[in-house]
Amino acid sequence: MNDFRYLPCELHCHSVHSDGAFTVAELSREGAEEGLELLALTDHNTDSGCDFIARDSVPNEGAARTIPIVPGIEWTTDYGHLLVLGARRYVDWRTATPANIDRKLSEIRDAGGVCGIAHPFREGFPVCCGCNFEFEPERFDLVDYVEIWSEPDPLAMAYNARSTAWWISLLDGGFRIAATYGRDWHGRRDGRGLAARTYLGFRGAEATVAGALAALREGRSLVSMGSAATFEASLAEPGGAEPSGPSGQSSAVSAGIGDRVDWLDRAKAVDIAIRARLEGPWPSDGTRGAARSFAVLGRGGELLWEGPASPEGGTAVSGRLTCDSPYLRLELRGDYRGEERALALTSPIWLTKG
Amino acid sequence: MGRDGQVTERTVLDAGLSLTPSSSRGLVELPFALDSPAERLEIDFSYEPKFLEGRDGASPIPNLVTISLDYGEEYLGCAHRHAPVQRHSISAGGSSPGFHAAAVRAGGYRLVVSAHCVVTPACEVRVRVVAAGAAGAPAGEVPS
Repeated sequence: MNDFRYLPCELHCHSVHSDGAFTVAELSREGAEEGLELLALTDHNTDSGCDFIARDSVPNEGAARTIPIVPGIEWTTDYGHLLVLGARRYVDWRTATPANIDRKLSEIRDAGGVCGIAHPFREGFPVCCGCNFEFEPERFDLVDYVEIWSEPDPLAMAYNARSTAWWISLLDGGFRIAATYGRDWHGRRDGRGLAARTYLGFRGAEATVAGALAALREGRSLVSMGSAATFEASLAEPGGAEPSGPSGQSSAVSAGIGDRVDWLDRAKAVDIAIRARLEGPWPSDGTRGAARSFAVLGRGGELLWEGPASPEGGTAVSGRLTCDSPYLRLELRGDYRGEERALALTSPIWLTKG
Repeated sequence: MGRDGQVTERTVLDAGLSLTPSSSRGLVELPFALDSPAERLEIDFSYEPKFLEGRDGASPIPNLVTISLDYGEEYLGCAHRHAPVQRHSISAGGSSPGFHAAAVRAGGYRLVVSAHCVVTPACEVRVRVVAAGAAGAPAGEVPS
């Protein structure tokens, strides 16, 4: 896990190539000014804006820096919206129907595309045509991520709670699907400032297009209203001692977000040492909630461990748990406008390889 | 301009569609062909009405109809816009946002009307495509 650096990304952006207000250059500049490290361009039903990505990768006049843009498209079908990133060839969105959605998902995978389900529980026809996900695929193994939070103020939108619960039910069904946030950025009219973040885990110091696609495929993601909340699990020895190597150093039997280990394949239950941390200070202005505690959850929402969260960030909080859940995931909890809410959620660490 | 110096415009598609709420979530394919290359395609697309007025102060509900374009098996793009009156152009030197820049070659094209949402009892769609300039010239070249 320590090999990965979690960087803020925005994976759902529109431009003038569909119904957005920004040119691709403007989008890149706005994203950089908001502190993002990477964007995905996901115009409705067209990737023509992607022709401008290379052209706009040169520094824009007035921009302090430029950031990489993942080429993509938002399949804006009448039965649901799919975010398709990095596909090597076009797959026709127009012929997607509930009857053939599994084949379409397979075609996206064959084209090298990373596939996410956008805002699955947003209101649909006729208010927002196709925004509600009505497809009922059987092949959720071909879905890489679900946009569990959408819009600039995701915790204010009740449908995002349904999206999150649905994603958790898919995890409980054994589907290894990452969680993302998507601002569904159409321009300045969406407002600036209050937006959540998807953090993706990159192996190097910088965000790259290939690294973003790999992170989504492998489930190295989290959503947050503020800084990145991450965690690590280590296989603990009976009696509470952490496993140690010959030199007395802690051994490398550990796993981070997105990892798949076989611990539960070899035992009915496992003892696990947990380390959770905020990678940076939590915003102190109160608009993004007050971070209070970490919670590690398992299948069915079972609470397996809780620990205090320090809003200063950087300090790991340690704990232990025993579980037979096939996965663990972390929530950062705290007060948001007078309610206890999850202010950040990670994709799982999987404890089975099966 | 054509080789003889005349402005060349050929209407290659001129179609009207009458949509109803039952047309929603449906596609209408409008094929057309060019027997010789052109400098550009000009597409005029419109539909009306845009809105079903809300009753008792409720917000009006919009119709949403979009178009996309293929050349043979090649997807040239889509105009996902909310405006009910639109004009787009396709050419090698640059196309309207939503469409890839593409030389206007001879051959078969397909304009696809997507009736995402039709809430009014009737919705009249007009599509007109004109192949303009450089008739008979090699694709992508503009004669002087």
